Amino acid sequence: MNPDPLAFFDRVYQSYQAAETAVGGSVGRFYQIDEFVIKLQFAGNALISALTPALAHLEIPPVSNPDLTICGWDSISTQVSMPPPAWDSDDYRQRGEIRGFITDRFHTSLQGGSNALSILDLDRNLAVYWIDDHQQIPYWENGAPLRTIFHIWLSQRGIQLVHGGAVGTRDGGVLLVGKGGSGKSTTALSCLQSKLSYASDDYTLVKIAPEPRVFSLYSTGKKNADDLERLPFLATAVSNRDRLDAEKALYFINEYFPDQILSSFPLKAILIPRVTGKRDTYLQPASAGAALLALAPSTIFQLPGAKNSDFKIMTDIIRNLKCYYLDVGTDITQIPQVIIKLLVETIEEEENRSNLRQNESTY
Amino acid sequence: MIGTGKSQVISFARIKTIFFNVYMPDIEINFSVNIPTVAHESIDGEVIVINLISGNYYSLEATGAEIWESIDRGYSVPKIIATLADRYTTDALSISPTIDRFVAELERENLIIPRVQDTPERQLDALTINPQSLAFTDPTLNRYSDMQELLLLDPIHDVDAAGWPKTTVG
Repeated sequence: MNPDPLAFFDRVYQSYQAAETAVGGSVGRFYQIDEFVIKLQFAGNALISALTPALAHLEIPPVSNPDLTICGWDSISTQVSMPPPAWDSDDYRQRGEIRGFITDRFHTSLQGGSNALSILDLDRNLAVYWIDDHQQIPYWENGAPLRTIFHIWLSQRGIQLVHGGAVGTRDGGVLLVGKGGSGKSTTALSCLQSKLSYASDDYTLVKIAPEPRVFSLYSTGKKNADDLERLPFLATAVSNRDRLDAEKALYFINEYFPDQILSSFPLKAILIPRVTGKRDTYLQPASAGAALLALAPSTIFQLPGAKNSDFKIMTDIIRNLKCYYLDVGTDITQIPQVIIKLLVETIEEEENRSNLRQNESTY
Repeated sequence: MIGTGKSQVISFARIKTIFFNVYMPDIEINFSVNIPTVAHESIDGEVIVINLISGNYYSLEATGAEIWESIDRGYSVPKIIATLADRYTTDALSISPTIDRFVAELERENLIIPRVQDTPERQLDALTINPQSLAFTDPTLNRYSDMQELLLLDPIHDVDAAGWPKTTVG
C-alpha cells in the first residue's frame, strides 16, 4: 500500500465526527500544561472516566482556542466503526509506530496490548485517540493516558516527557529516574506525608530553558500489590483493589491529596533510587553517565516516536544537574527528610553563588 | 534484522566485513555508528548507546568510550590504535588485538557498520575523554537487555475482520 497519512487521518477524523453525531454530541475537558491549553473532546461519556482522572489536577475552565485538541472515541459505545488500517501487519514497528505514517507532520502509533490508536496532525494541532472497546483500556493507560500524543506534541515545544517521577517544593525539586521496580514510586509516594509536594511517580515533563523545570502530567501513582504495606496511609486510596491479582495498585492522588500536588517547580537534582532492604535512607554521588543510563533507555523504549533528539535533551537535562543514588531504606519517613535536606543545601549553594556573582559585578 | 532482536542472526554488514577480510585483506575496513538504528550520547567521559531495534543498550567507559568517540569521528581502526598508543604507555602492537576484538564486538552488536574507506573524518570538538591513567586498560562493552520486554519484537498475525490487531489485555 502507498502510505497517505493525510488521507488516513481525515478518514479517522470523519469517523470521530460520526461517533459524536451518533451519541448526540461531544463532551469537552480543558487542561493547562505550562503555557499551553489542551482540550480533550470525547464522543459521549464512555472514555471520560478512563482517561481524565489522571489529569484532573491540570483541569481549567473552558477556553475558546485551545493549543491542541485531542478527540477520543470508542467503537463499542458509539457503534461507529474505525476505518480499516491503511497499512499491512508487517508495518508495525517495535514501539507501535506505523511505518509510512510517521512523518514530519503526522505521528501514528498503536499501543501494544490494548491496540488503542493514537494519530496526531502537528500542522492542525489535532489528534485522535481510538480504542475499539472503552472497557478494554488497561489500568496503566488509566494512570498515564494519551502519553504518545502528549510526548510528540510537547516535544515540539521544548517540553520533554521522561520516564521518571518528581517531588519538590516551589523553590525546587528532584527527578527520580530508573526502570520499573527501582523505587521511584515508593520514593515519590512516601513524600505525600511530608513538606514535599508531588508531581508524579512515573512520567514527568521536563523543560530545560530558561532553567531546568518539572511539570506534572499525571497525578497518579502505581505500586506493586505485594508491597502496599510499606505505604499504609494509602491503603484506602487504591482504585483497583479488586484486581490486584493481575494489576499494580493504582492511586489517583488528586482525589485524596489535592493540596500535596504541585504542577511545576524548578529542577535541582537527579536521584536514582535503589531499594536496599536496610533501615536508613541516604544519598551517594552518582555519575552523570549512571543517571543517563537510568533515564534514557527506559524513556526511549516506552515512548513511540522517541528518537535521538529526545536522547540529546535528556543528556542536556542531566548535564546541568547534580546526580545521586538514593539508597532507599525501609523506614520510609526518612526518604522525604533526606530529599528535603539535599534541596535545602542545593538551593543555599545556588543562592550563595548568585550572591557572590552579584558582589563581584558590584565591585 | 527487524524482529530478530533475541536471535543470533548474522548481519549483512558482518558478512561484508568477513568477505573483505578473507578475499581482500589489503582493503582497509573502517566503521561508522549504525545510525539511525543506534542512538548514542557522551556525558562526562562515558558513552551510552541504545540499539533502537533490538532493545539492547550499552555503556562504555574509559578506553571503550575513547574508541567509540573515535569511530564516531570517522577515524580508521589503524588511526584509533595509533591515537591510543600515543595517549597511553602501551605500544600499538600490544593494544592492536584488543582494539580489533572490541571493534568486532561493537559490530556484532550492530552498533557500528562498515563504511567506505574515503569517507572524511568528522570535525568535532576535542575528545571529551580525560584519561586519568597512563596505563591502557582493556575496553569493556557493558550490555543491558532488560528493556526488550517493552518492544514489540514479534510480528502481528492475529487481526480482526477489519484488519486491526486483536486486543490481548483487558
